[in-house]
Amino acid sequence: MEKTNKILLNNQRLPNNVNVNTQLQIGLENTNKPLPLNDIDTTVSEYEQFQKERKESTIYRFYGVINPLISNPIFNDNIKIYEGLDEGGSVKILNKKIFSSNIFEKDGWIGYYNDEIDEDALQSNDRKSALCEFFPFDPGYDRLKFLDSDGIPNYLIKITYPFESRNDIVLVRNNVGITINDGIPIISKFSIELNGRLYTGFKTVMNHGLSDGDNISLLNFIDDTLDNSLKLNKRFFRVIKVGNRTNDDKLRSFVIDVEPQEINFNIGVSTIKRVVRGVESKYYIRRFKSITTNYTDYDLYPAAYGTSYFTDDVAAFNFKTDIDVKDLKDNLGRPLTELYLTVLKNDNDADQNSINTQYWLEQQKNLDPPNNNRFWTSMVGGYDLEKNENVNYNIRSYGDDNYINSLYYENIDESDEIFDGDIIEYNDNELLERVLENIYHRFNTVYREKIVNKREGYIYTPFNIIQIKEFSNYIHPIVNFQSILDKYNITNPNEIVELKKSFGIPDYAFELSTNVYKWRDILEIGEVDGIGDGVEYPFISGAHYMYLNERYYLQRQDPPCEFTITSKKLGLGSQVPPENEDLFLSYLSEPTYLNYEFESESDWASSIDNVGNVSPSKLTNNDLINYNGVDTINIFVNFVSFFGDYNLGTRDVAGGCVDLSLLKQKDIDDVC
Amino acid sequence: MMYVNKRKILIRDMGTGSTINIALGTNFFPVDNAELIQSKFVDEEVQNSINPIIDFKKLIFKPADNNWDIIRKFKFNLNFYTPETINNGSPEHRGTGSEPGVYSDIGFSFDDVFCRTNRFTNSFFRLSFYDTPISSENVLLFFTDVYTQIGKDQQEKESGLPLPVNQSPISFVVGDPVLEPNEIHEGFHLYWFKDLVDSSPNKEYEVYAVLQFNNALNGRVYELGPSKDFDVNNIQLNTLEGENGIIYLKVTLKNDNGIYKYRFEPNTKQNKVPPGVNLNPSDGTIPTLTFWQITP
Repeated sequence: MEKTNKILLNNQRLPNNVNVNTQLQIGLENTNKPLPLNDIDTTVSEYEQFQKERKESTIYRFYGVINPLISNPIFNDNIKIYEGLDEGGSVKILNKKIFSSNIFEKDGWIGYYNDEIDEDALQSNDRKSALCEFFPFDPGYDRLKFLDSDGIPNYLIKITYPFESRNDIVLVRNNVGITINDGIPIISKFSIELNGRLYTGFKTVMNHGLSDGDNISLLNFIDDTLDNSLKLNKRFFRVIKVGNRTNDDKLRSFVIDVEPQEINFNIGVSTIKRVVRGVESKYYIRRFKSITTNYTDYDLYPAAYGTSYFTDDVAAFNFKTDIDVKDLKDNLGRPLTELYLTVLKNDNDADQNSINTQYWLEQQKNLDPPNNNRFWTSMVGGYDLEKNENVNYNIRSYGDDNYINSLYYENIDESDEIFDGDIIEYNDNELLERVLENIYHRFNTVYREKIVNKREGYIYTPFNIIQIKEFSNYIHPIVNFQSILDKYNITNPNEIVELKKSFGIPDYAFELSTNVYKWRDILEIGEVDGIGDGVEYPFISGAHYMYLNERYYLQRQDPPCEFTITSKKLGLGSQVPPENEDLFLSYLSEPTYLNYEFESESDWASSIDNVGNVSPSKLTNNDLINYNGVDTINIFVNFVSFFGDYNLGTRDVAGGCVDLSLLKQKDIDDVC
Repeated sequence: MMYVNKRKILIRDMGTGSTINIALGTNFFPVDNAELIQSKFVDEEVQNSINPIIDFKKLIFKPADNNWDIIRKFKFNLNFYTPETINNGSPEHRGTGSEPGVYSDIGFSFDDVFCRTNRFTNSFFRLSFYDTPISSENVLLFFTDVYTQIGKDQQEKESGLPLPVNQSPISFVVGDPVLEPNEIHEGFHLYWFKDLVDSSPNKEYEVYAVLQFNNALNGRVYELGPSKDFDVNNIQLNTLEGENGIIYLKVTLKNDNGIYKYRFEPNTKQNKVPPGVNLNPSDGTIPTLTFWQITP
């Protein structure tokens, strides 16, 4: 014994004392250490230790490349901005209109070849052409490229994860409160003949996620049969086929076995839901939360040999900040299986003191704040939905006057912590989320949107999935935990929690009824299930290393795929107002200018000695537009008017979907 | 056999409501403690025998000036003893300031430079980084190589042709791969372990750089230092090494609020006029490091 205490009863201490209950604290300390009786040999498995550490680690380190596809078909104006002397002899920011014939496309970028010698290039002889240097119109490389030399990043990269969901958005306007929670809205109906009889087809506003043979429920449809024999709310309908009459549009059209005259729909009100073994799917929007926030969270630099097929510079990145997913849950309360590499366009992407920035701010100085001091509009979000004026969140329609009442996710900024994301379908009998529509962000320049009323902007998808783990391909058999509790009459909540753990029921398990669970296991890293699902990536230095190879495609909001030739009649010569000369020059500066022709052949014959059919690039005020001594000559100036699906103002450049072979008139050899 | 204390308590000795505290002794030894040994001894010892995880994560460090502002590019000037002064027995470097030497000083001909011969293009300088400035005990941490360049410094302004070798400076410009895409990038960034810097006092980690020029023309390795403050006829080891020596240039790696930077920090000798390190040139020119040959 280490210590001996003598305890006297009270009546032993003093004669008149009375004994009372006494409490004595005794420390329960065990100072003994069990020693092995014999020699013990134990083998430490390096592999098992590795697996243990890998399983326990929740640290992720991301690195990789982004393959951008970026250009500037949507530009402010076809001008060259430079510093020069004004009439008073002081230095001023000036601009010079670039004639249509001098506008070129180089690797997708729209701009001009400099007509002034680059003295620096000429002197240093660094093999760069002193004359034929290409300059894109604004927004140029300094605002759109992933890697540019002004030192001011054009994009912010974040790591995000889905942390909650919302189901309150209204995809198609209605007066009865139908939201995405009520299913996928129908926007049109068609009939289709199959095997000699008519069936009914419907078109959805977004991807329906259906396959041939799926069951669906039809909600808020109109039963046009006399006896309501369709029993719309009491049964499910089988999808005969997906696609329309021409077997196209499979993602948004489907056919059911109902005769067309028997059923109808209300736009915005009628919806469908996929049904799996009697359970309707849920539809909602995932919302994403940022884990990283700053430009300092990662390094961005040119990838080795990093040039894409379209000559874009591939950007490499390395996250300096470790990503810890411990205790993070997704929108369904499950441990994270997905993270997202999120690329966001920023606004402060160029030197505020550059002459180009100063020029555009000067043009915008009369606008209300904040538009008078920013180059880009704030971003809006939406989806690539069907064209219909009742449809909200259709990103391609943003700016179209016919969609002025449409809703969008407004005022998105790269500094935001929370972003609305994709549209999801989730079915309790599948326990997996299916992405039906990706979110798009859209932005435009303030000058285009607010001053020249060109409302087509750029769009891109910001979220790129990083699959850090996968769910098993099979659903764990149902565990009736309640029967255990009943059998042993267990009611203590703490005991129930412990028992749940011992049964291996994860906290994210779906509760079919009280204490009856089913779930999908999350495969450990390196674990592969029967159909090959699973993830495997290096584990080094106590962290998981994942190489990401992502794309970033900056698209046009509504690429104009059609064009028409339009003409404007103009009189030139000594008998018409001199303003016509300026007008003619302005026509020649339109990016969509095509050519001009004389109204009368005799005019052409009489003028040929004076002007000939000279290239517009060689025009001066003296050789054509004056027509000194000539009576009025009427000409038709022809333009190519491009148009897309939406009314977004004048389009300067055709979409890539247009066959321009009819219009092609020049190439780079004409200039350089 | 009983291993407990035996007490006899008489009822007459006890008052009303008396209690007796009994010690809960735990000094017993289980005979078969195999399970305890496995869980408390073997498992713990196994765990103790496993090495802790060492973090090998490396990061890019960007160069900064004296104010810790990141710089876009900087230049290395190398200055060698001129052949004439070596031949006459009193070796001297070219010029009196922080200018570079010329390629003729180390034996290159105009044809070497003009034709970019192998012996020219394969010549390079190596910047080696050590943990301490004491040669006898330091450890080489990493190094970076920069090869000869025919840049703007080496070209005639008007024609763009290489300068004559007696005018062609031995200088090397390195620049940021994003901000200065036309410059050479090798040697611009340093790469080092993140956790070593993060766990250092003030998040500043010191290493020491030594520069050697490897001349492929004659196979010779030249030692150079960022200072001219030495007597070529009386070179002592204590002049060369240590915190105040001339060959070890201190480099501080720093985590500056999540931005990882480095800068050269010259000692007194390396700061003497002409300075070997000029990261904030007052004339607005490119930040420059000048190294002078030590032994002829």
